[in-house]
Amino acid sequence: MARILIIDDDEQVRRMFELMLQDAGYEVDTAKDGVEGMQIFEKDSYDVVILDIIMPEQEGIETFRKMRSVQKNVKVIAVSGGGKAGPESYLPMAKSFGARFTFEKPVDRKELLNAVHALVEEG
Amino acid sequence: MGLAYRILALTDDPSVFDPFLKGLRDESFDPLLILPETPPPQGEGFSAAFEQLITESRYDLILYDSRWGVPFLEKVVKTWKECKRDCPILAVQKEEDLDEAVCLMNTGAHDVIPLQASARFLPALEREIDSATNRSERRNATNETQRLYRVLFESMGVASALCDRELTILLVNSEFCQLTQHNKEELERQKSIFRLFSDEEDMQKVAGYIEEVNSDHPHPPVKVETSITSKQGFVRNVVLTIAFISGTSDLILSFVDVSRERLMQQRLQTSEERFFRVFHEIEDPILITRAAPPVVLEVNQAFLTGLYYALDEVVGKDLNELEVFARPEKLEQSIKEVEEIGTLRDMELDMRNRSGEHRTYRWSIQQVGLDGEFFLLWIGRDITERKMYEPQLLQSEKLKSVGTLAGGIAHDFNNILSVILGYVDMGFDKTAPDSPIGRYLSEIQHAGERARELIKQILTFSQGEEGKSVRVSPGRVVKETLRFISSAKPETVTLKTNIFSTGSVLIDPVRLQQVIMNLCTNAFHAMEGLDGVLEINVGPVSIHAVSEEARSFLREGAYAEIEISDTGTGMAPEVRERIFEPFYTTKKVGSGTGLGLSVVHGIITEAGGKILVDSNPGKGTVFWIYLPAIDNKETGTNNGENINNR
Repeated sequence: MARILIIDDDEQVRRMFELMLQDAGYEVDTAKDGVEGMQIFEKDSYDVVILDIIMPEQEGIETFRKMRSVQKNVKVIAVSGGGKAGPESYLPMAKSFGARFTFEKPVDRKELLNAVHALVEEG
Repeated sequence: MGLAYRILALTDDPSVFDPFLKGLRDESFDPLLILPETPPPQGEGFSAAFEQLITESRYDLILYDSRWGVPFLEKVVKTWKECKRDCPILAVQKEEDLDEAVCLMNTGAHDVIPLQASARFLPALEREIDSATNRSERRNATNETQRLYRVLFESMGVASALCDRELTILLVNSEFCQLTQHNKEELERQKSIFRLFSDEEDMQKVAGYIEEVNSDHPHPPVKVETSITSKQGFVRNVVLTIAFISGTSDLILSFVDVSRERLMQQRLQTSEERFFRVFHEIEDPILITRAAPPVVLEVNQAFLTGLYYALDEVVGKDLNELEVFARPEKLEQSIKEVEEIGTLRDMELDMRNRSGEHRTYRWSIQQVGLDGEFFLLWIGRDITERKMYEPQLLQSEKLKSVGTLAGGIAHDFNNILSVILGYVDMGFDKTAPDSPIGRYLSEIQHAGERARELIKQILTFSQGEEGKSVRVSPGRVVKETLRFISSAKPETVTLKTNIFSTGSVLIDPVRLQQVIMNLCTNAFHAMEGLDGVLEINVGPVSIHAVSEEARSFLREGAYAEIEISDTGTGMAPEVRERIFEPFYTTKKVGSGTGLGLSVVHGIITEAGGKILVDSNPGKGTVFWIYLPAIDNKETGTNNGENINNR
């Protein structure tokens, strides 16, 4: 079973993504911020990481950078709720860091599942 | 041996003077007769030899044979005078001729003695000897006077030189040597004082003065400022006094060194000029007045220009009497305060310019002590415009802070919406869409999507979602937008458009579209249920052609103007003033977000433009949008429809 790691500081969002992906048949782990996300990521291996870009403690981009240093070809789907400088300036940055898909919140369920599915299928 | 007596005998026949020589020898003189080697020419001039004979030696007496004639004697006397020679002339007539004798004496002969009256020779000779003795005594006396003058000349403390009329140096004092850095010998060798002058023109001026003055008549000293160059090459500014010594051809030139004074004057002048320029070129008005009464002593150009006054209308006037201060009691109170505490800062005073227009100036007034007297220094600033637009500035600040706040909360909102919409979507999987639960979920989803749109607007507003500005033709954008909104246009509304080429503007076309849509939608709402006209005009406009209100916000240049007017319900002034505020809405709760016009305002302002509004309740509303044209400097010349110039 494909494994997904969700890193998002919003508990409800985390829970919603978790249920959504579990319903779709994935095994899901969650982390509340970048620091916790890295601890989990280093212990296990994941097919896809869904990463919130704007988070406290360790910003998404920084977490992404660390993940890449551990696993070069990590498959990341970056999501952002905007605000601050806006998703437009953060999501392209995530993309340039190698995020495979980027989504603005609120994320369309079908689009997200399609993206996860595509990445898992890649193997 | 008797006294040597040099006699020049001007005759062809020396024997004619024998009786006179005998008489001299009798008087124990030892006469030495000098004769011209060759007879002098009788024509126009003298031969060089003859001229040398009569001018180069000193003679005690000249005996003149009257047969050489009056004109020749005249020439001799003239030549003599020219070279400043002088000695008695006795003319001798072979035959007595009274008329000729008178002529000879008028010409310069001291006496005329006929041969037959040789007995008169001795008395005449004695007289001449006496007179020569007197002259000698006089010379001695003169020598004494000269000595005194010399002492005086030396001790007068002013650099002076005694010169002849050709300005040949005859005598200089030590101050003169000090000034010129030459020693006396050098100066005497140098001869002409002219060499000392630094400036050729000055030299000629001085020569001109001297030429004008007739030495025979007393003449007051002439003063002239000039400069001389010292031996070491230093140029000294001097005041030269030329004193003419009456009855002689000599002059005294005194030089007072004024170099230091001139240097100080020049420095002072430079410094004064510098301060003058700063004082007048500074953009803030400055006044210097007395303390009590506050009489204006100095005023700068900014003050005069700002209030349309001329210098002489203000200088010397009491501020209380000048009508420029609109409220005298406030002026008086301000001055009183300055006198008490020494300084007053940022005092707003109402001013009135010459045309009666009121302006607000912010003054800083300071007491300044100068030479034991107190003055007031006023430095002001015309803040009329700033005060006028302070509310607008405040408004834009407010909009900005609301934008920042909105941007901050948008992030959290999106998370919440993610949860709501995510579960709604998952809920659809578990229930049939046409079941009651399905319908409820559908409503939740609809509300969530509305919320998502609102958040998008908030992000636009907070500048978090910045579109890309590109060159667009406003006319084209308006035309495209009209296609979208024509379906939303109520049947009762007539649409009129006049679209002219404006040149391009720099803006995100999507956002400009949003602006047009927003304004048109508002217009439709305002005309709901009424027969109305929505008019949209697009055209070029120069800053000079726009309203004064718009002009005060815009920079010099060409603009594209988009005018959108409706004949709807219009707005009351208190509504009109607040329509660009975020979250301000007149629509029913739930039917408007209150972000529309503040977003419109933000988009236009960000593009460097301005949006203005006018409205009358019951008559309608007009919006004017001004966007800076980037490639069409010439405005108003192209009135044909041409919107394909992208």
